[in-house]
Amino acid sequence: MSTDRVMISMRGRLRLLAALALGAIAAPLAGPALAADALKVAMILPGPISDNDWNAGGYAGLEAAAKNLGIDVAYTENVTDADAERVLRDYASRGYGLIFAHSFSFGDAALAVAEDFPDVKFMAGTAQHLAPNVGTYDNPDYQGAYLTGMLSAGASKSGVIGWVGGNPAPNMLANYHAWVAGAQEINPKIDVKLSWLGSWFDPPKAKEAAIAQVEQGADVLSAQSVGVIDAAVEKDVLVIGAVSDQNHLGPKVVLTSVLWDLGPLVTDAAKSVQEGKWESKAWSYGIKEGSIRLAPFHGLDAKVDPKVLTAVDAKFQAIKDGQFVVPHDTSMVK
Amino acid sequence: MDPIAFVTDPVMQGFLQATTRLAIPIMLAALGGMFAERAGVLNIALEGMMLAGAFTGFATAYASGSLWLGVALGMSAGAVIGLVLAFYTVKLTSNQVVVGIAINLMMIGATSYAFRAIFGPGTDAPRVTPFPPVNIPILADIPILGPLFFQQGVLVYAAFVLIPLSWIVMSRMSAGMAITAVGEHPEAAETLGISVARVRTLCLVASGLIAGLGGAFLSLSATGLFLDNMTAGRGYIALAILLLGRRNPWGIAAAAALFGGADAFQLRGQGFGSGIPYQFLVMLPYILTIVVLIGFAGKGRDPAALGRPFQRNRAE
Repeated sequence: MSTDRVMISMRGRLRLLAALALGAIAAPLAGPALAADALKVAMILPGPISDNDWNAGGYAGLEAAAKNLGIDVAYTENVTDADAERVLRDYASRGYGLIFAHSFSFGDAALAVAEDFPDVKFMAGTAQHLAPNVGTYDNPDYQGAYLTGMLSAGASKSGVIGWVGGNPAPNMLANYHAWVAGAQEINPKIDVKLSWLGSWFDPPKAKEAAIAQVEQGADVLSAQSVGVIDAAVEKDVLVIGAVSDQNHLGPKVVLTSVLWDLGPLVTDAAKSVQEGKWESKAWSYGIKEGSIRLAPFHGLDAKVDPKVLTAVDAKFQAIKDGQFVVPHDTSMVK
Repeated sequence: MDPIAFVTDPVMQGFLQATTRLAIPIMLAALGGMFAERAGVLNIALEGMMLAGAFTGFATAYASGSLWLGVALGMSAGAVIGLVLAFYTVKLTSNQVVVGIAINLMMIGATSYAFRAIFGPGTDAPRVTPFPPVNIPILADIPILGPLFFQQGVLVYAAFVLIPLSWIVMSRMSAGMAITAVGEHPEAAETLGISVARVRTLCLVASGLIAGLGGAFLSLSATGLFLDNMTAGRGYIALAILLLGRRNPWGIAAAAALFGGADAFQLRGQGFGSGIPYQFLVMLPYILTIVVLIGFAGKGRDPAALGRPFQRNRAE
């Protein structure tokens, strides 16, 4: 008898629990349904957001947009090319209205998913072509690389400078070619060492590649991979940082850094979706739009010929005013 | 040209120094793997052990300001992974390959998560000042041998000491005999009063200590930073180096030097503008390892009980 009562009360408790659980699940579901127009923005990234580089830049841009517009954002990092389509599809089906596929290698996946979700806008970090709901964007840091190329040639005493990168992605190649072009404007006979690691994230190897270049005479480096600045500190040669001001990593050697702020682009894209004015086009926010700048010299400009510094300032203005267009060359290096 | 000049050439000196720096982490992981495999346990988890060592070593050194404490705790983290591996493969007699792979995948996530939790995802990545190279007086000036062996960081010297030490343990001490017995014929070892479970567990702990040191070398000597998955597959190539070195400390040292030398060479080859596509240069150390492995195939013999879990009361 008493056991029966216990049984019933247990069942009752279970029912109550079930009801509570249902309520808990239903509550957040009801949220977006009520505010159907609230835009949610997602980004998928090919590497860790802590890479101080491409992925960190993307993540910072997304966070800036969230702060500027007060919108919900989400991201998935370390997405492999094989997983990109699945993760994009997942975000699209969960009501995200604007999705950034933050890699040149996610272009095909974005185009494929976009066909099935015509109401969702996609932004691919470059793709084969545009589609009605697929736009592209890039990191035009090559514009800054032209300037740092001039600075590198101006600071080099040996006439040898070195560039270390992960893999020859179009973005990387554009940066390299612009850097070389800038260097050649100052010193036509400049000797440029180039090393690819075959891997995006391998700091010990990046450091070794940079050390090898220094031993072959390079006295100014361009750090396109984590580990290069460490080599510059150890070998006491100048180095150009990337994405954020990396002077704190080597106060005596990081001459300047090419700053990349994706915040304005993500913010503008999200705003245009909210206002129904989004356009499928190649979005490029460079020096003119204030997305690409050079970091302060932190006193190291004394190591560069003043004439070169003046030339760099003039070139920066010329790019800003549209009088000079930095050549955008993504051809493979022989 | 002076035939001796190339020996003292800075590029040559740099190549020799880099050979050792690139070989050491892989050599340490392979040396750790040797203890496990000689005792009959396949240690696929070397990569995870290295990653644990790299992360724990870095986080400890950053928090305490002591590189040596970082090294100690990095090694301990590897040993803890060794204990986990022992729990599954020795105590529960699970499949050694499956558990090893599971540990590797788990450690990628665990170390990345812990790094984020402690340091945040910002762009101001924390750094420590790594061990500086220390030249050994007189010896450092010997051509070829100087840059190879005597112009390195302290952890490199520690790694050098481990090679003869491991050799003595394996071939000149009763512990080595017990390990070999357990790896070749665990049933016979057990009848002689050797506890297979205990020997294998201790071997996995030793394996973790040494592989953890290899990981700590990456974050505290090769660089002064930690990045998600920074071991970049070195724990896997160590398995090949282990085979190539015939599970012998001297062999492992030679095989790792071959790999490190090829890697140091290809990094310099790119700078010379040889016209060879960079992909082939990047592949060079791996191709060389495979080619030499093929040459050695069949000559080496695996420990008879390798990969076979041992259960004391199992009916034969």
